[in-house]
Amino acid sequence: MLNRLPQGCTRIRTLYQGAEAIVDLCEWMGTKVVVKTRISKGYRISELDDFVRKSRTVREASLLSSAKKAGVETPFVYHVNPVEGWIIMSYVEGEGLRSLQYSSVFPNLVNRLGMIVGRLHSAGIVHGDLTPANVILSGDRLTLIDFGLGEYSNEVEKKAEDIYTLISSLTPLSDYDSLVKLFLEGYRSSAGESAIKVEERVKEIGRRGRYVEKELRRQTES
Amino acid sequence: MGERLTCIGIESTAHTFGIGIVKYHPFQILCDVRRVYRPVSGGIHPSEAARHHIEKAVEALEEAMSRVDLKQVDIVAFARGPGLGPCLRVGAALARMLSLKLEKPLVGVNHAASHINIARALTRAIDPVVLYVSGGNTQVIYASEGKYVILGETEDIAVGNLIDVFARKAGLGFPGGPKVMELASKSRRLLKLPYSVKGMNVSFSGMLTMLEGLVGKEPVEDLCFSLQETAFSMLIEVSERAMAMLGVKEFIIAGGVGANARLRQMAGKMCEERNAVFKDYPIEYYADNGVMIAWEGIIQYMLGEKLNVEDSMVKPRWRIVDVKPPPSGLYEN
Repeated sequence: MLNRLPQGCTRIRTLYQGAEAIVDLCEWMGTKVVVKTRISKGYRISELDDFVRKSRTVREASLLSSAKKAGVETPFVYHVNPVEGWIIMSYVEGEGLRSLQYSSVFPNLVNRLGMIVGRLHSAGIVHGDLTPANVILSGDRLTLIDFGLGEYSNEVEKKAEDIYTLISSLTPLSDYDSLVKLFLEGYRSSAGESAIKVEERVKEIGRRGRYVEKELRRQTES
Repeated sequence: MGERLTCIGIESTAHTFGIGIVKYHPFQILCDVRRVYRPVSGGIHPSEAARHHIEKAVEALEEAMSRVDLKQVDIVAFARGPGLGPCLRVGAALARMLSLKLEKPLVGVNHAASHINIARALTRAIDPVVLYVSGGNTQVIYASEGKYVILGETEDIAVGNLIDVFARKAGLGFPGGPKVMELASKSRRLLKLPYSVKGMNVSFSGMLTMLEGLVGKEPVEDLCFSLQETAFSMLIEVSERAMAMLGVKEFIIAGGVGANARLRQMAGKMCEERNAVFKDYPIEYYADNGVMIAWEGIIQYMLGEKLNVEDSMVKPRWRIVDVKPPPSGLYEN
C-alpha cells in the first residue's frame, strides 16, 4: 500500500515500513530527502487518531531540532505537517554502525558515540531506541536518526535504557569489555554529573534482565 | 498421536470456579461447569471468593459428574497460578483429591497459557501474536522456539483493573466490563485522556487517576466511551507493533476483556488493514473457565509434566515465560 506523499515529493524508494510509520526516500526541490509519514489507523476513531499522529509528529520534529541545538548531529527538519502526520527531513547518506563493527575505526566511533549520547542526555533528551541501525556514519560525522520513540526526560532509568540498548548490541563482539569502557568514557566526558547514577543503573538493568526486578519486588512484598 | 486423552480441569484463580472436561484427539469439549463469585460490594475479596469456591465446589463437581462419567478421565489438571492464593488453593485441593481418588496423574497448569491455548484450539491459530487482557493481566505474548516471550506489557495496572476500579468509583458495580461497554455505546464524545504507549508497553494508571477525577463532573457515558476508545487503541497499537516486528499474520485476544465487542472490532480492523487475520471465537471462552485448564492439562501432560501431590503447592506469581508452549505442529491438523 503506497501512502500519499507531501506535495512536490517524488518517491525514490521506501526505506522502511513499520506499524506506525512509513519512511520514504524522496526527491524534493531537487534534493534527496526522507519523508516519515505516520499512518492513519482505522481502528482508532478519527479524533483520537488525529491527536496521536499529530502529537507524535510534533514531538519527533521538536526532538530532532532540540538534539541538534544540543550539539548532536541529527537530520535537518525541512518541513512538518502535523495534521497530515509527516516530516520532511534531510537524507543522511552513510553507513549504519552495525556494518562498521569490524572496521579498525570502530573503537574510536564507539567512544565518540558515547560522547554524543552524553550530550543528548545532558540536554534532557532520551532517544528511546538507540540501536546501531539508528546511528549513521556520514562522512566523518556520527548522526542519530529516528527519534520516534524519544522524549524529553531526565529520568535516570530512561537514560540508562538508552545505553543498555546500545551496549547490548555490542555483546557478540570479542572486544566487548573494552568497547563498553570506551563508550562509557565518552559518555562520562559529556553527560555531566548524572553520568555516575546512569552508569550504575545500566549495571542494575543488566542484572535484572527485563522482568526479573519486578518479580523480585513482588516476591519481597508478599 | 494415537493416544486418546480425557482431562478434567479445575479453574479457581479469581472470581470463577470452573470445571471442564476435554477429550483429545480430536479436540472435544465434554462439559463446562462454571460458578461465578459476585462481590456484594467493592472488588474481589480473596478470602470471600475462596469461601464461594469452597461452597460451590461440590455442586459444580456433581454437575460435571452428571454429564461425564469420571471413569473416562485420564488426567486431573488445575490452575496452579498466577492468581489469588486463597482461591488457587481451593481448586488445588479438589484436584489433589480427585487425582488420588481416581488414581490419575495430577498436572498443575498456568492460567495465562491456558487462555492462549483454548483460543488457539478454537481458532486453529498456528502462529499468532496474543493480546492477553484480563482483570489482573495485560501482556502481548508470542510463542517462539519452545518458549513464551512477553513482548510488551503494562507498566502499572492491568486494563481489566482500570475498567473495574473506574466502574466501582462510578457506581457501576463489579465486574465493570459489561456495564462500561453498554454505557460507552451511548456516547460519541471523546474526552482527552492520557494515551500512554512506550515501545510495546502501555500504562494505565494516569488514565485511571484522571477518570476518577471526572466521575460526577462529566456524563458517565462519555467517560466509558473515552476509556474504551483510548485504552483499547493503545492495546491494539502495541499488538500491531509486535505483529509488524515479527512479521506475524495471525492475531488472537485471550482473557476476559476480550469479551468486549469494541475491542474485538478494533482488532478486526487492525488486522484487515495489514492483511492479517483476527481469529475470533465464542465469547464465553474469553472468560475464565475449566475447559481451558483441561485442555492445557492435556498439552502439559503430553509435554511430560506431572506433579506429585506433595509437591503441588500453588504458584500465585507464576509467569508464563517459565511455561513450555505446545509443540508447533499441534494446531496444524
